[in-house]
Amino acid sequence: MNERLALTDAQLLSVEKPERYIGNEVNAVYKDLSLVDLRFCMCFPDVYDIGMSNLAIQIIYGMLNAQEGVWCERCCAPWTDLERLLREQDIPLFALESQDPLKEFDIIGFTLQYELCYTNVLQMLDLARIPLLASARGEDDPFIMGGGPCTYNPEPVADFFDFFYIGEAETRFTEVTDTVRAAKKEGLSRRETLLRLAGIPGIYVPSLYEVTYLSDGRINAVTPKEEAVPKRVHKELVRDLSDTYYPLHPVVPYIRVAQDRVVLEILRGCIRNCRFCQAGQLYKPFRERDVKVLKEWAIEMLEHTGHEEITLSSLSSSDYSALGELVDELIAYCQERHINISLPSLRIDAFSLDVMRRIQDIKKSSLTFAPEAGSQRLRNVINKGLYEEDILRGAREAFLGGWNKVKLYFMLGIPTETEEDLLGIGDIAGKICVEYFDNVPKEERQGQAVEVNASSSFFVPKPFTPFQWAAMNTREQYLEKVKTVKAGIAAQVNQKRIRYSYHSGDVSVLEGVFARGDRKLSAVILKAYENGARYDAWTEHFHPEYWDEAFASCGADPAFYAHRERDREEVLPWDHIDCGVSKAYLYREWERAKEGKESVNCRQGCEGCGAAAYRTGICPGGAA
Amino acid sequence: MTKVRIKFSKHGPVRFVGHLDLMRYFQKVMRRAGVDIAYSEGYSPHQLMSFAQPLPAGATSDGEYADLTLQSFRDIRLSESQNANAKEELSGEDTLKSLCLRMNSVMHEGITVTDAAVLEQGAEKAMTSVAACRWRLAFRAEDPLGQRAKDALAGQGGAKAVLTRFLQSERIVVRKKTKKAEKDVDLKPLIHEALADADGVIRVLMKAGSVDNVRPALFAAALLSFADAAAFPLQETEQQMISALQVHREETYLAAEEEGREVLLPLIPATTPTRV
Repeated sequence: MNERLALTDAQLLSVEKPERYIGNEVNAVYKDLSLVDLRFCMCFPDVYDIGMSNLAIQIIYGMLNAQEGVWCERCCAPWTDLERLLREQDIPLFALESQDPLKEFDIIGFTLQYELCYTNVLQMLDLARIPLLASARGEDDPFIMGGGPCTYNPEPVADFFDFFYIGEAETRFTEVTDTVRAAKKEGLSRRETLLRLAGIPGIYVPSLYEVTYLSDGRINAVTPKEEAVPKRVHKELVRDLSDTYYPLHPVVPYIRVAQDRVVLEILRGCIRNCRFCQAGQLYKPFRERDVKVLKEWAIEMLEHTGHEEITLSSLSSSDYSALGELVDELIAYCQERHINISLPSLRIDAFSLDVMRRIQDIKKSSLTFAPEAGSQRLRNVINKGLYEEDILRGAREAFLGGWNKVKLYFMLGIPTETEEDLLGIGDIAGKICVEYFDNVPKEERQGQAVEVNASSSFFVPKPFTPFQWAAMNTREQYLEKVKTVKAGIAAQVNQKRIRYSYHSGDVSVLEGVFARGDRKLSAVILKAYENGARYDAWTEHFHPEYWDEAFASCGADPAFYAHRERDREEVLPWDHIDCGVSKAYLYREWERAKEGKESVNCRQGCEGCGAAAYRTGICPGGAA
Repeated sequence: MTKVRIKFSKHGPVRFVGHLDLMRYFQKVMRRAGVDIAYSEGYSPHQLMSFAQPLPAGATSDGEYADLTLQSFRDIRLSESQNANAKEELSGEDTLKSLCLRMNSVMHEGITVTDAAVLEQGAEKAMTSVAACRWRLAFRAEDPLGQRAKDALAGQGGAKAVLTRFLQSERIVVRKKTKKAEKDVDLKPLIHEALADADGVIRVLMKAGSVDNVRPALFAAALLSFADAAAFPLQETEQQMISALQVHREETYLAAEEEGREVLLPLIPATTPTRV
């Protein structure tokens, strides 16, 4: 226990949820500073409630603290009330465990899970009194490191980071900390240390690359400034998921956080090859964890956290080959201990309905389908591999099993989308209602007829997907499409049983700009931060005027990044990062998408994406 | 089924863990320690556990209580034979002691189970039996209101002198806001005893529970308002007291009858037959 707190009682009692800032949670790690020669602070650029729900933080925290001489602490973005207090009373941002200022650390690591957190990185650096620009940092400043899904195109935040870790943390993190420890001992300069870091596979040091532009603003070339610096940085990847670090004693927050449960990651990657999905490409190849290992881990984690729920985490749980066995074993253990099991990302079929019936209360739960698009034509464009008859059959079986609530997820703004596709959303919702009324006799409806909740989000093209060349819809186009969908639903006979909600497109365009942005955007992000932007992902804190002003004063055009279709020859800002799938494969998929042609999933066959080079998982030559 | 009352303390940084989160914390402690706690029947079963009285945010304590309903004393993490072996080595009080040790071994150092006792059949719940609490209160110099309070008391001969005059008043009437209306309440009969030391630290034994509860912040505000009504308007002062007043609960009491008169006993009385 660390008795010392950076804030006084009066200060802590004046902010919302002071438990966010006191550390001391069960399984938090405390070390004797005199035995520590590398201090790492794992930062999450959003509020504690979200940060402490993140698996990557728990992995890195546990993994680093398992090393002697290294102390990894945590820090999440202070909520707006604490930010105000820190500024007014001139208190530097501190880490949760030691409560020491961040500036005293050797490495500050941020995980970048979504683009809209970028201004919070600046907020945290600023409150920590660390220069925001890497170029302005001196010998005494910590190294600022970035990782996570957004770092596959780190260019928009390149100016703020000293280096990025591309790929899965388990493989090279120790090399990073060892290198910095050695550099400290040898008294190497900041630049010498960065040059050494650049030699570690997966490490990208943006300041060691020169970016040149064409007269129209597109990129001409990205070239290393030194011979020893690699031309391309290749993603790091765990070959054997059953034999790698996993946080079996994760930190247990006092407050109820977003993910207030044991998270058991059962697999990485995805076989499905949906063309809109970035995660599906980034985490290739599909790799499963051994079911025996998972069972042991689950019990160990439940006993050391005391959580009352365990969730099986993956991009697509139904694709885990030993799911039945795992669920049976978990039910046997959990039921007598009053522990709930949650199983998101299930495809609805007879098997999953049976599993759901056993682990949850039918009356309380609803079925979720993610057709993503309203017509089969458009579902083929995105290679969803889900057909209307599957959805209707799943719904019918579920209705007969006692369910009566259905959730449907869609995206609007998918390339090639037509009015017919949009009207298809109403059609499928209507057909699901018909399935209910045709199959469930009146006397079994118990006064609660079917309820279909359809919702749509704004499609954002992401790097390393076949849609990385596509133009994103404008906010106006999107809102027009919402109107069409609404009309389509209103035309249904059972329209009263269908509810429709949609995400406002306000932040989506910004997300689209950053997703495919280049290094010139660092200036825009800095300016928007100075204008007051932070917590952009939180609707109540998003101020478009801060961003409009920032783009204007930096002479940057959001449309250039979001709404422009790229051609095959264009040098993309992330071309010097290799996520394991080839540009040629992605372009093939882009062309097939435009023709409405489907591709196979990784279990059915190999489309030659390039990930087989890792020689693991489901790929030809892999273990599974 | 056995009902067990535990006493615990709360110190250090975890003093900022709020009441609802503390309940969640103990639910997780039960699972980590393999306590065979009973669950309610019905739709969403919950652990049968209830707490005596919420502690104000930021307060520390040596006198917190909770009642647990146990299916058995066995450790559900262990097999039947392991439990049988453990049982042979233990008996009576040792079973309770082992329960406390199991909990303490999986708790944060700031929260410690210090005592436990088996409740008799039909014993009143901790929550409803609370009759009084003993508090230790100090104004915080780092807080503007706390500093003003210290200055005001010092200016009138010190906390001790002000407190003496305060307690000598015939009535201590304060306006209390309830959900529906405001009403005047006389605090005088609700304060059993209070004394202050030379540093201005006040120890007060006051009524608590569901009927005549006096919150430490109200007591402190009433004292200040008594000292200088213009500088410390009651309601406003009470509202700001959270950051100005350092609060520690020393003990929580129930009311009992002894030789025909009412006495206050700790929620686990020293005379309880089965206690650690």
